[in-house]
Amino acid sequence: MLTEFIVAALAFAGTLTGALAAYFWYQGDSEILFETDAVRDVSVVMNAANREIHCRCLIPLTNRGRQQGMVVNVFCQPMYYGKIMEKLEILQRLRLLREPMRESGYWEAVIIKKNTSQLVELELTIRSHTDLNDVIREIPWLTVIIHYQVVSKSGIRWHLAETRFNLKKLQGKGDGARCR
Amino acid sequence: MHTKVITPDDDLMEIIATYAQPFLKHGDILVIAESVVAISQGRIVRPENVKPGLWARLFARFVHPDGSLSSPFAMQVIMNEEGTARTVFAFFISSLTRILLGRRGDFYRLAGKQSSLVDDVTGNMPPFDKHIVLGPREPEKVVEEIKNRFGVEAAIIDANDLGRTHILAATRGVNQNLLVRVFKKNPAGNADEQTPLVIVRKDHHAASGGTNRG
Repeated sequence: MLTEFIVAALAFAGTLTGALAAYFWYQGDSEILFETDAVRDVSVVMNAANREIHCRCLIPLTNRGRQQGMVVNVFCQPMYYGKIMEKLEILQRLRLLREPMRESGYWEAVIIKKNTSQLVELELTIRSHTDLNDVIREIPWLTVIIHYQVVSKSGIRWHLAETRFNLKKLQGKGDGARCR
Repeated sequence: MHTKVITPDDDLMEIIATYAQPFLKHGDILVIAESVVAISQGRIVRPENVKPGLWARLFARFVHPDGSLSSPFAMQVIMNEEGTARTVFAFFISSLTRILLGRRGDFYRLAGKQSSLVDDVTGNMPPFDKHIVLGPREPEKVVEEIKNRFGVEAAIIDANDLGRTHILAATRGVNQNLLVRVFKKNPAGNADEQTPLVIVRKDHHAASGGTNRG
């Protein structure tokens, strides 16, 4: 009698666990990523008089998962290119394209619904204390690393994405030079 | 009333004294957003500081995705606040009443007041968009304190742009039906307007048949 009861209880527990596991699997989770392979509207503009280079692009922020997720924090930073970086001030800002750009670059936490995509604008201003041609010689391609924090049903995760700006195309060009 | 961003470092009574008191008149009702009362009481938690347990992870899977408790972090915060046993009880009983009687909302009724007041991440204006914000503690005491100090009726309200208005606490002289009507269109806004204090005043001119609807 006891044995039958234990077998029945184990069978019930096993069935329940299996059903929950199947339900969790069916529900899935969010899968949010900065699609840096699909970057668009890239522009790099030189302002030689102010020794500045302005870089801008739009990056799709996409949820390919089966649940919505929240992008709570996003930070970006340029890669380190050695001593030339000491002569540069690089200001970077990110925003959802539908939101106004905040001067401080504050990222407001956002929900990304399943199977949707939002465009994110990345802006960089490079201010140089040395000749811009020297900067471009040392940094022909500027890589920007984006760190983003996703809160979803399965937990909190930090992800990383990379995008690049081609500064080399500005080499030898004058004020207002622009490339895409 | 436009105010500074209210943080846990602020004293709500001092905020009212600074931003609303100069405009208050006898007969006014001072209405305060519930999230602001909660924030001034320090009732905010970062999800990074919450470790969802097995129950929270399980229950969150059964909540509608748009609900705050669909996040295991917010669910765990509620379990910490209202007690694990109560939340587990509420979950199982509400599951039964939903399946057997087709009744919705029992979980929120059984799991305690906080379960329907909590706002998950993204539910509040910056900088609290990155926090889970609980409901205020002892709202009845807060409204009484306002009445004693400022001499006006007071209410704490949870209103949103969807037309849902819930009065958490009000002093005796408040006409709650009127407040619900006034806040149906959420005049204080639901985004980053920074207008957490609202003075409701009877327009005597309009009430006596005048044309000024102010």
